[in-house]
Amino acid sequence: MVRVNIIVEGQTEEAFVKEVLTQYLSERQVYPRARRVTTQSKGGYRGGMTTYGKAQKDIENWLKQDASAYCTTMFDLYDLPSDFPGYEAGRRLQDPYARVAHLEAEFAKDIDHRRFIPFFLLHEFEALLLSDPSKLDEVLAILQGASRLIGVLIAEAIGIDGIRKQCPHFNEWITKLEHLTPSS
Amino acid sequence: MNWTLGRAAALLIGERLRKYVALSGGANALLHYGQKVTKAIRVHLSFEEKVYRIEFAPTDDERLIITEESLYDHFGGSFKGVVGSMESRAPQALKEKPHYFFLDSFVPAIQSWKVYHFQDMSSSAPVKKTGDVHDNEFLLRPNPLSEDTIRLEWKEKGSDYRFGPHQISDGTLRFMALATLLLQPNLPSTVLIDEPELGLHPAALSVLGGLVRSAATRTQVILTTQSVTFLNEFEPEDVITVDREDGASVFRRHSTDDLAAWLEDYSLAEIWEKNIIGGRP
Repeated sequence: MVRVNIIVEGQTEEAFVKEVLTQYLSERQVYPRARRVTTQSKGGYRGGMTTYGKAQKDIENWLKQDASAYCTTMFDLYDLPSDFPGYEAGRRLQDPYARVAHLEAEFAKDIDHRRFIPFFLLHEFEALLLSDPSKLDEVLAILQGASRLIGVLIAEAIGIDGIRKQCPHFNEWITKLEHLTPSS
Repeated sequence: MNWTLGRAAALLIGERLRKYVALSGGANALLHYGQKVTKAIRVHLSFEEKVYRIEFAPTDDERLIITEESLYDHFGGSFKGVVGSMESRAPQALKEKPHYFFLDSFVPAIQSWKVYHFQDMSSSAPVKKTGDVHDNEFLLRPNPLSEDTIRLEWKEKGSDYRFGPHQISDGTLRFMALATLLLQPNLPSTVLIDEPELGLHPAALSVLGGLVRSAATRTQVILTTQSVTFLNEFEPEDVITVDREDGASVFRRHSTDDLAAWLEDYSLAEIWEKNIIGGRP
């Protein structure tokens, strides 16, 4: 049995991991738990990380405190704090896939731990929901102020397989997680 | 805050002010420090250039009568109530002239105000009992054994077992009521909610914040809160703090600009706790 701590930015991503991703991955004997990097102390409901330092500290703590689990992230590329490793060089890359590959490589280098798997969402959680074009109106409603938790319901309706078919980078991440072996 | 003004306004336009005054303990109970200190209640509501005014005074036998009622705009006065009446003349005036200037939006808007009470989760609370299936605006599935009645039931994901309203925690039941309210397709012109945080898990408060913000794109939502967690769901522009100064309640608005320096290091709730915006005991 493989356990993974998924460091997330907020409550919507936490709900996505708990309500949607857990069932999918546990069928493959991988058991994820969402761990929030920010609570409500700053930035209110729009939250999100403000500095790399907070994320880095949490990841290092999880790797140390929970030594038999892997650690990964689910961070939005959109509005990523500018002090993330490789940020400047990443900005100069036009192709988003190249940018995300660069940032993940620099992130992995900075954390430097075999149980750490970096992952950035292209470009934020709601983008995954566009894998089903019939949901466009609902996604627009969310972007205009409707509750983000509706997004979790949409993700559940589309299903992880449906999202994987349309989002290659997300698919790569899930593939990595599916193939993790017990970390002993 | 018990929504005295909101409830009274709705009752006034709904022609039940007399009953409200009686049930509140008479005129003396509604006047600030009683009628020896307060001779009249004067209400002045402005809607841009339109103004509604009403004044109440107590009688010797514990009733409140209207000593002035008028609605006017800068084109001149247009509606006056009856001095000495115990109910507003607005609904009657509207019945006589259905397209009466501004009354035709003012009266229905206030009549649609609904004050929801979700505090009562005791075993005798209405939410836990059987209700008349017709006493609402929803499309519901009535009790198959008794088609005119309905009772709340719920199921857990993955099970067909039907739980009753007594088989759930008060906070969760309260959340169900709040979510149902805020997700209605047709919302009243104003929704007033008093201390929604009672019994709710902080995660639920975060969900509720989202539901309130959604509903606020379709109607006006006015809430009170004493919760740090819930306050953080909102922006300075959404908040009015109330302080008691020289015996009066003073209401103040706030802005992100004014608080910019503080917001760099502190959440809105911390700013409240640090007594930067008032609203302290």
